[in-house]
Amino acid sequence: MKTIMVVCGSGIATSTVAEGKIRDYLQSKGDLDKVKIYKGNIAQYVNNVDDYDVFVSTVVVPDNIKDKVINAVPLLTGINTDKVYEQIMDKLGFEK
Amino acid sequence: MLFDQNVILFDKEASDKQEALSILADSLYKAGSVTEEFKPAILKRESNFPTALNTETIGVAIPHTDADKVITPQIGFMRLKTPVKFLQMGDNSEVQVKLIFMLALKKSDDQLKMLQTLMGLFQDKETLAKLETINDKDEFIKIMENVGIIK
Repeated sequence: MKTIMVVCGSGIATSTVAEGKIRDYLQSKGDLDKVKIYKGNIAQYVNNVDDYDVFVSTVVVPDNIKDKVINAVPLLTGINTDKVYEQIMDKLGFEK
Repeated sequence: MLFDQNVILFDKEASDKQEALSILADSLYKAGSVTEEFKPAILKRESNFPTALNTETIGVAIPHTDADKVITPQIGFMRLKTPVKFLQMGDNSEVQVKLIFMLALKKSDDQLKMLQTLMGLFQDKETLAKLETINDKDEFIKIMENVGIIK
């Protein structure tokens, strides 16, 4: 089972929206049952980036983990969403 | 209901984001929707985790904070007369914000749908354009009903 962590500042608001979008996308690809999606706030999980196959954030993350984290803001604005899904699928090793 | 306290403000003037956020947070406090700690928490959170989003047409912001500062779920709306500078969520780039939706939310799955709908609204240029021009609360409520934010 692959794992995705979706974080925002609170773990309630925008991470929930981003999680919903990712869930819908994976469902449309028939991959949802291969993935476990978690949600939380950045402060709590900032040191656990490597524990997940994919780490997605709607908030700015510290520079030292920046390269490992996918920016999920496009999932909120609807602008350039494809790029986010592509990055997620790459990290999961699933076909796009 | 999310707008029943009528915190719907048009063409407010604010010199910066702190002032804009304060006006809206004070209104939610006066309406009894949030605790006294809500405003300082909103301001702190906005500086730690900016909440502005650039839509295709205008800048919007969705300031929010922890659920324990919320008494009854409510959304405060404010349109600024002149946009003020916020930072974009996720990358800290500059956004000139015209519309603010201040979210006073409790933790609950019901709100997921509402948030998704709100994000959908940000992708709907026609409705955003309407929100830029309307001047009355009833019209605002009607738009919120039409897009499904109020059921």
